[in-house]
Order: sequence, then C-alpha cells, then structure tokens
Amino acid sequence: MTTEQRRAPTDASRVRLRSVLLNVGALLGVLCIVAGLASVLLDVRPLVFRSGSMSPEIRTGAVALARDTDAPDLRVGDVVSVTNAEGARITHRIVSLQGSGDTRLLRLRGDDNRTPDEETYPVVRVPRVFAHLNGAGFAVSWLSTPPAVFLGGLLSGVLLVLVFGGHRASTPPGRRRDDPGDSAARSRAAGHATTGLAVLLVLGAVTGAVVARPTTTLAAWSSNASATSGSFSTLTVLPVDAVSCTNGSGRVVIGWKHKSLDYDYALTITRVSDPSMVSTGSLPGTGAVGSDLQFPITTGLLTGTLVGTIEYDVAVRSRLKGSPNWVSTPKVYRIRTVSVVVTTIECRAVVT
Amino acid sequence: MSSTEERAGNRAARTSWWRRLTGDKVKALLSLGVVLGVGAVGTMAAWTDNATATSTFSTGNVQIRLTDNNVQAYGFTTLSMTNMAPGYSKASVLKVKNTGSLDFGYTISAAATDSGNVAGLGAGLRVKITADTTVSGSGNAITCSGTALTGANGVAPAAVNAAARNLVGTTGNETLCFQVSLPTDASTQLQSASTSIVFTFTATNL
Repeated sequence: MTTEQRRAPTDASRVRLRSVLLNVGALLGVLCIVAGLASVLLDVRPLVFRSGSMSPEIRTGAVALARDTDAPDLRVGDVVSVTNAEGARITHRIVSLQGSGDTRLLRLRGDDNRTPDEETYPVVRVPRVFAHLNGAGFAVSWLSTPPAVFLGGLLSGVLLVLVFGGHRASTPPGRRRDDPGDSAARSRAAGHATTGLAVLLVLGAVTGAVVARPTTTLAAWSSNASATSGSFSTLTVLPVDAVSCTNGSGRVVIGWKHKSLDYDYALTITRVSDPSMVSTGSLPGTGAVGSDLQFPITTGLLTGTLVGTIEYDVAVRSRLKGSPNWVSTPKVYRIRTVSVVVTTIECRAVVT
Repeated sequence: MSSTEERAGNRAARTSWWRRLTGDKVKALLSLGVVLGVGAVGTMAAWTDNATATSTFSTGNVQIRLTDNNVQAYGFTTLSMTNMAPGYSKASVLKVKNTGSLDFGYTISAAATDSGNVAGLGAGLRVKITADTTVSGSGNAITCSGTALTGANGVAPAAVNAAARNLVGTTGNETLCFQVSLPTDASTQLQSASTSIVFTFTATNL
C-alpha cells in the first residue's frame, strides 16, 4: 500500500481500485493456470452441453468435467461422452453394456429421450462425467466470442499499463500513466527478468489452456418415428396334379396336365440304387391350362451300362417361366429298364 | 533499455525492487492467465465460427412424424405385395415431417420380421429409398425411379442406413419413395415366405 500511496498520493480511490483489480486478476489468472495444469496432470476434460437431452440433471449450457475411463470400468448409469458416426460428440447415460476384454459396446440414452440412441458405440476408453455445473457453459460460450476475447485483451493491456506504465511514469512526468498508445514501450521497459517470467507464465498457461480447452457436446435430443410395411409374401410354385406313365414301343411316356400358364416344366431322372441323377430334361408349358403334356423317355436318355434290372425315378417339377430356378416340389413316377438280350423300358408305379 | 541500466545501477536496492515487483508486476502478469483462459476458450472457434453458431445452445424440441396426419407409428400398408416372384418390385411414397421446433437431421434404418414357416425373405428382399414423390411403373414392377439415397441403394432391409437428411423445424417436410423388390436371382427356397419391414426414422437436432 505504501508503494501506491507514494506513486499516486492524490488519488486514493484510484489506487484502491487498481489494487483490487490486480488482486482479483491475479487470483483468476492463477485459477486459470492451475485449472489448466490440473487438467493436464489429471487427464480431465471439460464438456460444454449444447443441448438438453440429459435434462433435467444436466441442462443446455452446462459444463461438465469428464475423465477418461477404461471400458471395463464403465457401469450402467454412467454418463459418458462418445463421438457418433457423423462426428458429433454425444454425452448420454449408459443403458446397457456388451462385450468383454478391453472393448465394450455401449447403448446410450439421454435422460430426456424416450428411446436409446440408435447407434451403438464401441469404446475402449471414454470420458466419463464426474461433475457438472449447469449454466456455466453460457459463460464459456460468451468467452469464446470475439468481443470477449477483445475485452480480455483490453483488460490485460490495462493491467500491464497500470503497473509497468505507472512505474515508468515517474521518469517522464509529462505523460499520463494510462496512455494506451505508449503501453508497448512501457512493457518493454519492464526488464529482462520480468520478461522471462512473463514468457514462462504465458507458455505454461497456453499449454494448459490448449490441452484443457472445453469440448462441446451434444446431449442430443432425438425423436423416432416408424413406418411398418404391409406384408410381403412370395408365391408358391405349385407342382402338377399328378404324373402318369404309359408304356410305348422302346420307350415310356410321362404325362401330366398343364398346371399354369406361368410354368414350364423340368424333369430329372435319378437312378434309385445310388441314387444319382442320370439325365435331365425340360418341356415348355404350352397350350391351355389342363391340356396334356408328354415327355417320352427312351433308353438312350439313360446313361451307364444297362445290365439286369435298374429302377429310375422320373421327377416332374413346375418352374416359373420368368425365373427358371424357382421350381415346385416334384411329382415322381418310377420306371425301370430290364436287360436280358435286349433292353426294354417300362413304367412301374407312382411314387408321389 | 533504461530499466536494465537502472537495475545495474541500483544493485544495493535490489531487495526493495524485487518486493515491488512481486507486489504489482507479478500480479499483473498472473492476471494474464485470465486472458489466456479466455483465449483458450476462444480456440474452440470450430463450433462458434461455423454454421452452427446460431444454435450453439439449443432449446426447443425435436419431433419427427410421418404423413400429413403426423403419425409416429405409421402403418405403411400401401407398401406391400403378395405372390412375389423374383424380379417383382413394389413401391410407395411416404411424407416425413419435422413437427418439432428445432432443425434436425434424420436417418432411416430398417428391419424385417419374417412370418410363417419359411424364413429368410426378410434378408432376401432389397430396399431402395429415393426422393421421388411419385412411383413409376405398374403391376409387378412398381418402382422408385430416381437416384437412391446413400445407404439405401438396393440393400437388404437390415443394411439400410440412409445418410442423414435435414429438415428445418416446424415446417420442414419431404416425401420419399420406398421400393421393395425381390432380386431376379432370389433363391427358390424363398417360396411361400412372408415378411414385413419396419422403417425407423431417427431425428437428432442439429
């Protein structure tokens, strides 16, 4: 106090104001620096809530402090901050955890949301909120605006001028102490020791501040709607009603009624003993529904050595004209070949 | 530098000079911490200088609804088809509305639920979503002819993940076209199957 009084004995209130400003400024400055350092050392990061889906506990404009937590330490009910697929930061409460090892799949829900977030978030390490202060985010937001930064700069300039300007003012008495035009020169005059101290402080504060800078987070609101389609059902390719077999000269004729204008027909001939498919055939569906369709089978269609009596199953399947791979269940007729001196072929019985 | 000279010349008075320094100058310098704190916050320019600046803090509500009747769970029965065969498709349009006060972005996902004895149709169908306001074609080939939304270009229902689309608060709305088709190479095993698809619209405030 004696210093100020000596310097400006005629203006006690001004001196007092200056003293208060300096003390408050120094206190806040130290707080900022300590907060920055603590944030670095303790790995704490601030989050500013841009929206209110965590209401009423954490409202729009809240600032929360979060600390990185390993996934296995997370519990249902914890409030964690994740980044969604679109890159937005979301801070919501855990409603379920899945997985083991180092990774957990989180489902999150905002307290004010009726439904959980659609996205599930795989996490290994995630910031978990351990404290919050509603409303503080508005101040943080304001502080980041250009006018606030300008005011901050102005304040620092005034403070510097108050001190260093005042110190120099005694040398050139013709000048006003708080003349901002000369502040740079006066700051330079502060001396190497002070400059070094200032540089250190500035570096420390900047480092702390950059690391500790708040991350904004959306405690995003969400809303869902759903549209449920009617039923989609596929058709059924129907088998022919029945297959018949007629013995002919050196052949059998498999016959059936045309089932639908949408169908062609596919036949397979399978040796019963193996069983193995020995031949395939197809017949286009032509004529009116119900008209007779016939497919002759000669011994020439049957591969392999025809010795003794061999049985074959002939299966007839309907198939879609537009999509030949869509076929019906089969209707089967069993035939056989008998080789004594010559080979004959004959109908045996309906299988299905 | 006059102060250097001063200091050199006044070594005897160092103690008082130092006391004076700690008294005021250091306090002033410490005060700079506040400015730096402000500056640090200012480095968050990413969210204050960009387009979202006006909604840095949002108040209001997010509400997404379907059709002009503002339905939350809509029976989209016009989107259905019986006796489907490979290559068939059906389409129908649906209006999506922002009935909340906030601008939102919404995404669409889908899930199919098979019914009946034959499973797999839900995975076998293909969904395409476009911004068409009317459908094209007729009969077994009703389609959405426009460009598909990213993430909804002829994929199985479970794979639908339409990229976010934005609607402004209160008045925002748009009509989308939903097409469901059975690919021409669909397995014959999918005969006699049936399924239905739930499209979920999830809106999140911008």
